[in-house]
Amino acid sequence: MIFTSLEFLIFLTVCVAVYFAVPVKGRGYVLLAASLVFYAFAGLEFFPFILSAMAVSFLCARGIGALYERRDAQLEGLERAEKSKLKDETRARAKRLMLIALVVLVGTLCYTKFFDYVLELISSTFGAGQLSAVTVIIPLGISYYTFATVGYVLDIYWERYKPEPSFLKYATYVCYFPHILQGPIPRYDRLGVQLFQEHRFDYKRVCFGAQLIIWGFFEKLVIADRLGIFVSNTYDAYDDVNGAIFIVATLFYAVQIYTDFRGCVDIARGISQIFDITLEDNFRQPYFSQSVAEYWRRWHITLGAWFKDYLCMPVAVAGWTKKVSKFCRSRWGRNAGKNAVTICSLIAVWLCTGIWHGTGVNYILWAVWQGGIIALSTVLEPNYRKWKDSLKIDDNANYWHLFRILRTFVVCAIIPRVITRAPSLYAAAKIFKRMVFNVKPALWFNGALFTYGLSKEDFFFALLCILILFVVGVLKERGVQIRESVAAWPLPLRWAFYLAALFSVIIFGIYGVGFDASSFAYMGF
Amino acid sequence: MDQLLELLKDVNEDVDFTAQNAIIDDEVIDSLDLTGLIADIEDTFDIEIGMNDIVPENFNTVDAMWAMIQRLQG
Repeated sequence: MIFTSLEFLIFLTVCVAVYFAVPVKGRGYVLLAASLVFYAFAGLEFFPFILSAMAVSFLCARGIGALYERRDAQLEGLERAEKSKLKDETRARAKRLMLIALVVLVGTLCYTKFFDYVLELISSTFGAGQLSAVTVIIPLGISYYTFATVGYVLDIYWERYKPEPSFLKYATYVCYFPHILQGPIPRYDRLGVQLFQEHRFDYKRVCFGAQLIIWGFFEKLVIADRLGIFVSNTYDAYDDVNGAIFIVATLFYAVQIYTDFRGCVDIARGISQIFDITLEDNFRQPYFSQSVAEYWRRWHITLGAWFKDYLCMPVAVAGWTKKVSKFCRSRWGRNAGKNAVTICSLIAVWLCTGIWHGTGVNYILWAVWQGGIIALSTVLEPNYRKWKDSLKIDDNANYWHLFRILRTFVVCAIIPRVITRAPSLYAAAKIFKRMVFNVKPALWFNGALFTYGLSKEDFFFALLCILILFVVGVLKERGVQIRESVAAWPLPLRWAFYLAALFSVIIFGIYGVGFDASSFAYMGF
Repeated sequence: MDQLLELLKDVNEDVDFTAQNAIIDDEVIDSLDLTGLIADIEDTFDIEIGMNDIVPENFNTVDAMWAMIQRLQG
């Protein structure tokens, strides 16, 4: 049952009705029941995976919490040396429990995501054909709930908060249905604590939630799926397509992947808003970023923040990183030691980001590209400043901002997208070559653009939608609260706007044969 | 304290860190700058910063960083 299906809309309507019909204290349990039903629709065979993840993380976190409680009770009255010994012993025991949880959770994720790939690799390398006959099921949302549970266990281990005593409340946090498909990746101290608070019906909030859902549908069904037609018809038949067409297709793909992912997250946030639950936003106009590092703070924000807190920082303070840093510092000076820590953290983060996105060579290259650019910009920062000063570039000038935005867009949204969207690395190389050396601008004006699945009307409608998206982005950048502004309009105008938005989704959404609106791009993760 | 301010100046010389009260929350320094800063602080003050210490509250202001350093030295 996918967000854009009729079944889901019926399911959601029933959920909302039951949620507000039951007493306030029972509403969290309605969310648990709804999430389990939603998950059951995806397939009962997935249940053992998510239940074991919940159980292992819950029990290990409780165990760690109990160890810390016992330590705190015993600390009083001890000498300094004894205190230190007790703390070390407790930490060692807690570490064992934390590692058990991590091995089970991350091991299951790796097994379901990579086992088939590894078998295929062995088969193709050694010619053992029968190995690839094994097929491992990938449970719905396994990446997202693994991140949620691993983060929870680590937070308890690092004593950031106390473990949740109720398994049912913890289970609701893990399988909460709006975020299980494509995130945003939750944190227990932000989402988990909200689910069982007292939530009351509020007309304005419910309307705002519904509007966000409609906007999410618009992004997914009207924009992403429309652009997807053009992108598929060019990239999947790349041998016969000119560079000029690929330039348009790649620009479209950058918007498609953004609206596809953002659409799903907006639907999830809209649903949560109706329930009076705040889900974090996963995007902050990423295509307006002025540097690669900034882009990754605005794109898939919760994934970047998760990697920062649970991978980048632990690597930065790890013993082996310190040894590398010390070595570089003694050989090449203080800056080298500092950069060594940053680069070790970057390598760990980008290796995992690349593997998480996909297993092919394309994704490895994609990760090397993104991580490499950030590492280079870190190392070359002093030279970059000197170069900028010598050219007397004003940091606040509009032309400089525009240049940086365009440069970041090409580096983050164009080059890596070609690498991951092309059917193979060889195809990506061919496409790049054509986009640089074989561009016939006449194809933009002679009607050729309308022969890749989108009619002239559809094509210009797609451009209009991108313009709307751009304007909405600019308004958000300027801090305009769009829904608040619309809510202040006179009633007839406001409702005319709402109905126009709703009907535009119904009329202009892509539901035709051959286009599977149900599959969100990031669902496979 | 002066040594700490020198390290922060290295991160971004255009920022007056003493006037900031949400260095992490307002993204005055990003996570990569923070990894380098942690390495510098550990080396300069001969302390070990653990994961328990890497929370925004310990890095949002210069005073908070200084308090953390003194606590870890003590």
